[in-house]
Amino acid sequence: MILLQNSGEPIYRQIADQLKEDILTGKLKQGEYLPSIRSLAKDLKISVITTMKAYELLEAEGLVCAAQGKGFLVNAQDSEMLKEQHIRRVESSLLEAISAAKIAGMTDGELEEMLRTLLTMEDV
Amino acid sequence: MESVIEVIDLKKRFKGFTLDIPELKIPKGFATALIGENGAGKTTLLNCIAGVRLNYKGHIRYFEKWQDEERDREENGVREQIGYVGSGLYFLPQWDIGQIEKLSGLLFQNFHPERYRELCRELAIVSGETSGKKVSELSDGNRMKLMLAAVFARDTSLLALDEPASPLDPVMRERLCEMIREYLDQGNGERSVLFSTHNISDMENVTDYAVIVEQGRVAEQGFVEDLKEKYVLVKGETSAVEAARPALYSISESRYGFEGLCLSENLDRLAGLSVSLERPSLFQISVAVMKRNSQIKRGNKA
Amino acid sequence: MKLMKSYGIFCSRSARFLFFLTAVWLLVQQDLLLAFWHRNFMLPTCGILAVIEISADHWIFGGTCAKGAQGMDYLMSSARGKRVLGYALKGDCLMRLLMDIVVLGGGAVLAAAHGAADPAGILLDTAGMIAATYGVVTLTLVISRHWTMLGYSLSAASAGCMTLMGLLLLQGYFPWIGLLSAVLCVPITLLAVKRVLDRMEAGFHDGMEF
Repeated sequence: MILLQNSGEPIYRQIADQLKEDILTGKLKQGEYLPSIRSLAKDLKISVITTMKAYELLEAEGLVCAAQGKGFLVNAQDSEMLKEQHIRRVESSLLEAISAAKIAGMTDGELEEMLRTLLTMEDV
Repeated sequence: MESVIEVIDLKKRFKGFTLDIPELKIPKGFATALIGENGAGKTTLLNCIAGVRLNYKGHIRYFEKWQDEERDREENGVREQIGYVGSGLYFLPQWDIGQIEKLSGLLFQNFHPERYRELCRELAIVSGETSGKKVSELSDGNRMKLMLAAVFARDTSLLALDEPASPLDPVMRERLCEMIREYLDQGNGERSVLFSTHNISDMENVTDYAVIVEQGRVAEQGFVEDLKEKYVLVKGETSAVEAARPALYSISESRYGFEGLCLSENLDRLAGLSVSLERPSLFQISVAVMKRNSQIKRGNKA
Repeated sequence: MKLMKSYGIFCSRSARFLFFLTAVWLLVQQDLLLAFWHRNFMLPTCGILAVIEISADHWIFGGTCAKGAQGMDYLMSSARGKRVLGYALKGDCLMRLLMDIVVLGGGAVLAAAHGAADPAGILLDTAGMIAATYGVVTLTLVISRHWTMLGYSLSAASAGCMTLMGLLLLQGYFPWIGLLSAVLCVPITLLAVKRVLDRMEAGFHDGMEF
């Protein structure tokens, strides 16, 4: 896990995002326990409250649930929700590309063209 | 949230200074930092909690079970569960490292001599196996390391550390943070740490709960992540300073602009101003709270 | 046993070194004195013993009565701190008394056994000297423990030594001084233990009382 101290993104969110990625890509499977908040804090060299906040964020998003006294369990991810999450990521990446294109002064046509070219390259 | 220490109506008087804490709860399972200016009352509060200063008024409850008058009874084992590190005259200067090992064994049943020796080696208090080095011959940094070794060699539930980071070099400060995190991890939520510090930035990554003490009172407290949401760091050009000032909790100005802390609930009062917002660090929050409270003091005197 | 264990821990290497080396030397010297027994030959031995015991205390309980209870916080954080310190202080008194008895009494017993005139008188006189030595040293320690500097401990040691010399000379003319010393040893011992424990107790009470 890579945490950036000065990225402007709070550490707890960075942790939550990376764990979320692990859950959505299936690296962390349903029914698995997340590392305990204090051992994760120790390993990441951050405070306990920060990892706790990250876990609470994941819990609020329904990705994990707190098992009383045992830590946090990864929830079953239904495929519909997984797909939804992936689509949201595509969308945000595209939005990022669009704003970069605007800065570079590319026209909509040029951008579409580039996407098409990239897609054909991906096929090969 | 369970609390490891509960302070109720604590008062302690010195010449020209009174510590006055109506209520304070130190959360169980976390590391709590006592932050404040010199003479704010951090050490006094910590010493009262550790039970090494007794003539206070009010009550301190330990581990949600014992009252202060029960703390001193040996059979209750309250003192046994508290690892205290003081800032000044802690060991007799003539004691050597070997004597402290034997003495600790008499003073505390949960002391592990092997762990103490290992810590002495690991923290490089002395080179080699010399246990004959006297406390008076140690530097401030090594003296602190020796106190930490004696305390971390015990199975305790609460550490009360007075300014542990101050005499340590940056590498050792990092090691101290690691030791605290390991201590909390091994306790699995049953162990807590309370420490006072001036080195807020160095200790930020091991601070879960912050208690900011000013003028013998608690000026602000909370979990660090909550405090970072309670306050917002505001930066802006000089042109916006007058419009922003009334909404800000604290402000510092320079020729090029201003920087200040704003309570999140007051953010809407900055609407329309061209300012940039940032998440503050614990250091920035602490300094703002301390400054504001010492300003109040100056205002009162004038 | 508990007294000796606690005392053994408080007794620093420097102090131990001083004790044992000197004790051996004094015993040897004592044997030399045997050939010509006279009570006044014992005086230098008493003096040296007093100087050694008072200066060695600098590395054992030195500074324990100093302002602000020097270095007591660790003991104060333990529920057993006061008890352990009390044991060590009592152990110290016992240890010094034993040392005085062995060093001073040893020679006298041998002298009495080897056909010196008036063996009972020698033993009685020696007992008085032991009491005086122990009493003066213990009383000096009550004072010297208020200082942390080695220089002060050494001054206290020489002052204690002088006092003892004077007392012992007087005792040669007025034997009842020996008896008085023996009686006074009891309250002096109590005072020596209590003073340090009181200073530790005072450490718990800083600032103003309510």
